[in-house]
Amino acid sequence: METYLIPILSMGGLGALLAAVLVLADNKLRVEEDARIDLIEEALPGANCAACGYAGCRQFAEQLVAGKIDPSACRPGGASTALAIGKILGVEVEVGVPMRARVMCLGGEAECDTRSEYEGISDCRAAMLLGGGNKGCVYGCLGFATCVDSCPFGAMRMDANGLPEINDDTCTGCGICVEACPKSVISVVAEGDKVIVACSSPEKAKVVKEVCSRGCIGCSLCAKVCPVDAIIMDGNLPVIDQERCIACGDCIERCPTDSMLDPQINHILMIRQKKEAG
Amino acid sequence: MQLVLIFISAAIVNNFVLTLFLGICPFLGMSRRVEAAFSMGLATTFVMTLTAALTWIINNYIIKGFDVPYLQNVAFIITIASLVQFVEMYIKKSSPSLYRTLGIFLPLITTNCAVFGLALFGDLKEFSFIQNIAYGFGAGAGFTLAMTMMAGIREELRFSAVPKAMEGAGITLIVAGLMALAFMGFSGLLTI
Repeated sequence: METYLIPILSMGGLGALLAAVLVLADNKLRVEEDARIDLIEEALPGANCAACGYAGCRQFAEQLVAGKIDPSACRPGGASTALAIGKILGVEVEVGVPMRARVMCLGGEAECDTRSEYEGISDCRAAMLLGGGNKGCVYGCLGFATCVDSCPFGAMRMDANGLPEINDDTCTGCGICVEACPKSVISVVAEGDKVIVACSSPEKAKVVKEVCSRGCIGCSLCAKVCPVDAIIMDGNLPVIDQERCIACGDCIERCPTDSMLDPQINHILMIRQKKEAG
Repeated sequence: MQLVLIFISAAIVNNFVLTLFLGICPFLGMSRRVEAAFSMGLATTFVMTLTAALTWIINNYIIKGFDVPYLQNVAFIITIASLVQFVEMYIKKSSPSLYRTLGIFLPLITTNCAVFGLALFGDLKEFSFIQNIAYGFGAGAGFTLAMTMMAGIREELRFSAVPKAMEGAGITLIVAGLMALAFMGFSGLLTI
């Protein structure tokens, strides 16, 4: 009996003693914090993604209460979170357009050639260190799913063709995948953008055609066919003015390489951002 | 004199990080900026000194008193965990800016093997109470020294031309290895 009693009592006693000290310390050393910090923290997504530039949601909430930043700075939370925070803080919140990530490349395993065998760590950043990766196209998606691993919301997965697929229902447009991608082939665009150019290669037709069957060859047919002149050519890539675009789909039909598609149909497509177009 | 020797032995000759390779996680993770590294070192020193005192008492009066040596690890772990909780509360109250700097690494002192190693080494070396405190303080000072030196080197490293393939973790580990090599030069200086 004693064999069991002594360890139970000694450890139990030690635990109870330390617990008592901690309870005392908690009472004595409690820091008075603004109750709104807890409320805001609850309203935030709680992913601690740090896309806002602070260590986590709690630090972001502290800055909000201190009035140092705008509630809309939480991109993953989107409009509903910004409004909820505005309610807690009692301030007016301007709600922006929801953003979504898009992969600006259609060159999966079937379309794009490889120029070497890569058998290293399955990570785009690692592959990138070896002469810029194994893909034939220097600008294309490497397909080692670094963006998928980086996504704090689980909104990305690799499709059968080796390209990342973005789930619009869970993507918050936080832009963490954009940072993670060593090829800068992902961009964040407004959800309402209608037509996007799903190729990042600024090379001439010959170079693009040699390695990829769906790359933009810079033929400028889309710019010619557009009835509202929303497309202009920037070097070898078209740029779409989203303000003008009426989503008629003429350019999509005309495109000889299908590198231009409607994001509603195929959301793997990418669009040039508006500021570049302007 | 004995106390000074114990202090120097723990801080330099048997440096916890660079000779015994304990506490590598914060050594690599927290050493980007000198200021943060130094603060982390101070917090760990504080915890280590208190740990040395507390675990000595627990070891000699509870573990040896009740003759339950198999409970030593458990007792040390709950002691260290509670202590870190206490230190966290104290820092939160006394210095919010330091609290923000240390961030997630403060609770991580709980699982810092250097602190746990200190408790176990103290028992093996059969120090007296005061000697054990000097040992703990020395170990903390050595940890702070290693952290601050590492952070200083890494701050300079940002401006030097590191080969592309070795950027980040690679060069950091090489630097850590070279520092450990330098500290090997002290070995055998003291036998405590």
